[in-house]
Amino acid sequence: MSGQIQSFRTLEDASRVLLIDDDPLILRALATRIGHAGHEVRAFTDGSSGLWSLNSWPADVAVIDINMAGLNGFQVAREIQERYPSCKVILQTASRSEDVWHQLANQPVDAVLEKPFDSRELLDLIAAA
Amino acid sequence: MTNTQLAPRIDAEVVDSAADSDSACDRDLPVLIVDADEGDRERFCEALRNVSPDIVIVVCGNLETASYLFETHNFSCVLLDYHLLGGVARGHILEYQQAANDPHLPVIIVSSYGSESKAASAMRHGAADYLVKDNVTEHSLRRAIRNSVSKAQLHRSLDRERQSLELLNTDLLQKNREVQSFYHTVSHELKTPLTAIREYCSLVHDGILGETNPDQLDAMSTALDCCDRLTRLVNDLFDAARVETGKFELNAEPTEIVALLKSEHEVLNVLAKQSGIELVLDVDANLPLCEIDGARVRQVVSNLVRNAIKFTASGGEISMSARPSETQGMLQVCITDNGYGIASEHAEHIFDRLYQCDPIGETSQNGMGIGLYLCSQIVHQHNGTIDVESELGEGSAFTFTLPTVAGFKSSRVA
Repeated sequence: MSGQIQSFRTLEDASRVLLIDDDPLILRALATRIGHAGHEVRAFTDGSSGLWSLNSWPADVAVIDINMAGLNGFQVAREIQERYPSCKVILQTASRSEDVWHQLANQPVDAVLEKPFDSRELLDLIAAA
Repeated sequence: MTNTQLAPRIDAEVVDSAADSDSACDRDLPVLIVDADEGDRERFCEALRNVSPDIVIVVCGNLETASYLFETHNFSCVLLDYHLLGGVARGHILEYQQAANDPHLPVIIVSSYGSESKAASAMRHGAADYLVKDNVTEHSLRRAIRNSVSKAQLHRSLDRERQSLELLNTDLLQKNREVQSFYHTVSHELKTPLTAIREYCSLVHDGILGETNPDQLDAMSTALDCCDRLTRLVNDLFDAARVETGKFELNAEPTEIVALLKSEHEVLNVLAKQSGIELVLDVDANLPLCEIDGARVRQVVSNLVRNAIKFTASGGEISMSARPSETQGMLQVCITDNGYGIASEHAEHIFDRLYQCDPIGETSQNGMGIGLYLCSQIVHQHNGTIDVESELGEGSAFTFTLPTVAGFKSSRVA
């Protein structure tokens, strides 16, 4: 499954949020949550489609899962950081592996959330971005 | 091979009186004598045959033939004329051992002129022994060969042991990686659906998918609590696996312990209230900075307080306190409750991995026996100690120590 899921009502202080996670169930739930908070959301199940969307739809925040087939979260984050430096990057992962945390030390991002997380924490991060 | 002569088979008894299977192998191999002086060669052969009538001896008079022989035969020992070498230099003996494809092949230097310095130099460069020709007797020759061969056998045996241990070590490292990878996969695969479950429960709970009545709200709260409990269990399992595989690392930095305890108190107080328990925070605001991994210490505090809540009846009291420890450079944190308490036979094992107490009080949730084990591992990795004092029916006091920044620095200097 790939492509935009839905966007919701916008507020004056709303952000454009790009959501990328290869688990469609998590993607849908998070898109619902973020959209309900008043942000504009575009959600994709793969990194390439998400990156492509930024050409015509500059996002304020990208929320990206790390462990994905094809482009992984770090690769997508690097592309965004290089090509769209104004876009904040929040990575999310279910992994507790040292490899992930060592890689994060080499490639800092704006925030990291360990799954499962309280989505209010994610909304706080988006609001602060 | 004109200078080579082969003698009859050896006598096992004579060459080495210490009978073992390894030495028997060497007895089957000939001794090589490399000496330019034909008279000396014959004298050595005769001396060897007198003590070992069946010994197989190969003789030659120059290094070229010796090199050829090394490529085509195996020897138990080499008697080598010092003057053929023009002195023993670093690498000479190694070359012979390499040519023979036997790093432990004993090479005994025999020389017409002896001196302690020459002997010492030859031994330093790998000679198994050094004999002066004029002093060579049947028995000194036999002793030198026997000792050198025994020593070589010992070295070969140690080599085999070392190789076997290296193989075992490689195998264990591979298994370790596999176990780590398995736990990583299991953890990831459990937490991914947990994330979805938690998020959908949360959407219902927060009324985002429609209005909920009080019963539905209560049900969703319970489901969310269960998700969080399951997440902690999965994380504990993964952490325990990392401890077992030596991958558990701390990220220590100067940390405000008072702020840490206050924020944990805020979270845990909600749980305590739900169980009708008062959670008291008793800390001195002027406590020094600690050199700790904040997330891990939170894990310890949370685990101990959650346990205390689980094993304390409604109306009970739990206290979280912190003060300087009696040990210099350490700070002491204490979680005390007036709950069911722990029997002494359980208290002494309570930090053991997978240890289970008998069901206590009104709960049947004794956990996996990993939480307190992890607490002790985290505290020990901070160079701290963790203890429990408890009495059945009276309650328990878990006390652990953590290094202050000053204590951490002085321990590093020491």
